[in-house]
Amino acid sequence: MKFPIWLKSYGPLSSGLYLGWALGTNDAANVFGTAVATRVIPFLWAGVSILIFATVGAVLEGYAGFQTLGKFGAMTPWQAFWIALSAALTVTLMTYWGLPVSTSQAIVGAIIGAGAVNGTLDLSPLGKVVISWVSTPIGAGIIAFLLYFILKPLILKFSKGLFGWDNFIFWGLLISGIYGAYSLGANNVANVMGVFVNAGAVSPFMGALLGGLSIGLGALTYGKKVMETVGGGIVRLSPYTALVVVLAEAITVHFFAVVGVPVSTSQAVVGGVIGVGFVEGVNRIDKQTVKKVLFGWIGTPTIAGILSAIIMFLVNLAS
Amino acid sequence: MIGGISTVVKRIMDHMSLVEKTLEAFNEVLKQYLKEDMDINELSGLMKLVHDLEGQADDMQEEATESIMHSRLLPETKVELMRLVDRVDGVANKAESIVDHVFLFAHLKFPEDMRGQLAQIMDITVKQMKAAKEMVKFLFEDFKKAKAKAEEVDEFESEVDGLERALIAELRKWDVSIAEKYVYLNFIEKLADISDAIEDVASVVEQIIAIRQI
Repeated sequence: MKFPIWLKSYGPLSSGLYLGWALGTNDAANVFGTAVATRVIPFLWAGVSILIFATVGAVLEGYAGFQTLGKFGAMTPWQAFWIALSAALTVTLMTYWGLPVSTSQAIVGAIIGAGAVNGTLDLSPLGKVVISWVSTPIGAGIIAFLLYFILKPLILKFSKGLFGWDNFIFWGLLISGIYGAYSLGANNVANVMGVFVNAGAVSPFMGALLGGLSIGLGALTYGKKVMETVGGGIVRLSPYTALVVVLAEAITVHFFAVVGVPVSTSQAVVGGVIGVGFVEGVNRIDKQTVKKVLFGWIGTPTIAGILSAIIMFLVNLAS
Repeated sequence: MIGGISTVVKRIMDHMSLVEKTLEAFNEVLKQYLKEDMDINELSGLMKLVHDLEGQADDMQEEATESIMHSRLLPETKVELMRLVDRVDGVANKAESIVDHVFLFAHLKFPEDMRGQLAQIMDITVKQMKAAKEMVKFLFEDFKKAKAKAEEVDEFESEVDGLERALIAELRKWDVSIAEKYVYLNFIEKLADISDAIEDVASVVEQIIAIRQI
């Protein structure tokens, strides 16, 4: 059977684009969840902001993540297709089973699983990646803790009355959401297109552009349902607390975009919520949520790795 | 950016003005009622005015609530403002309830010194309402000033509280039946309740500010 050239060239990207779409639908809630669920910001504003700024973030700062994932070993475009598909299947299955899942951790697991079968695996970047994963909630927690103290006097200084306060929170939520969308694109585009860029299936610029757009389209087309279902992503937050948490999450995820390690925005949010909880003396995170984060670090890459290894083994067997 | 703010402020303040007018009219009712030679026709006219003003305040409360709901304020702020408007309306309701229930039953004959103290309670309450109105205006503009006004409102309530206690102590000395004492006590307590209702408005304002300053 003869495939058209465009399908041969761009066909492998399909699984990555699907992964990007799925990532966008889920992670939109971590950026604009509380603001949309509480009707502070209309969904259309949030969706369009994510589409634009996730793409801008991916194109301007997504390249460091491509390089990190490339260090795990070389692959062909079609191997990249199967790896992205394994990660996407892991995300879909775990979501279906109600298990916590992180795309960042799924893709790394899938790369390692496939690399082990193909004999191309290089585990040298793994230490940096795991340290970044663990540092994400801790870093977001510390930043949220500090931001809580810094932001409040600042707001009260510049907006003395009730409506000034409201206005500040409204714009704060919008701007921090936009920054969160930018960070999401900059950091997580490597999950979506990293394997394809490293396999030479697409140029870094085109990979960043397509990856950013797929994340943005996921948020715009299906993000509303997720936002309305999960509200603030993890727990119900007050507008001020949501502002602090989203900003802390955006700063943390942006930092790791610069470092070049894709991390989980959901785990950054959990860290942020714990951080503000320390200030307010409220524990909004139960042990179950902490267990979910720990499972995300170990369980997700393990499941994705096994699935990817099985798929790659079968593909190698068939070809 | 936040839509309809000027309408929200206008309606909340208009509502407060109507409640203030209701209290002023009620003060006139009380003065007439406490007179030895009470003019029943004038009293009826003033009582009708209290009812009319309270009805207008109810209508304005609905308009204020509607404007809050349709504004682009944060959800928490909407809930807080609706609670505030509801508490403000409760002040007018208290005044109307005295007109409805107490005045209709009997013309209570207080001794002259007690009449003076009762009139004083109402004069302070009217002043307290004016302070509460300024407090709400400041809530929109400056938390610090609003907080200072809330303290002023609380101080007025303490004054009323002192007068209420003095009146009850005086009442205890009366050589009348318990049933009769109870009717007088009820009147004094209901009158002082208006000041408590205004203090509740100040408490809501203090909570709104505290939540944002913690």
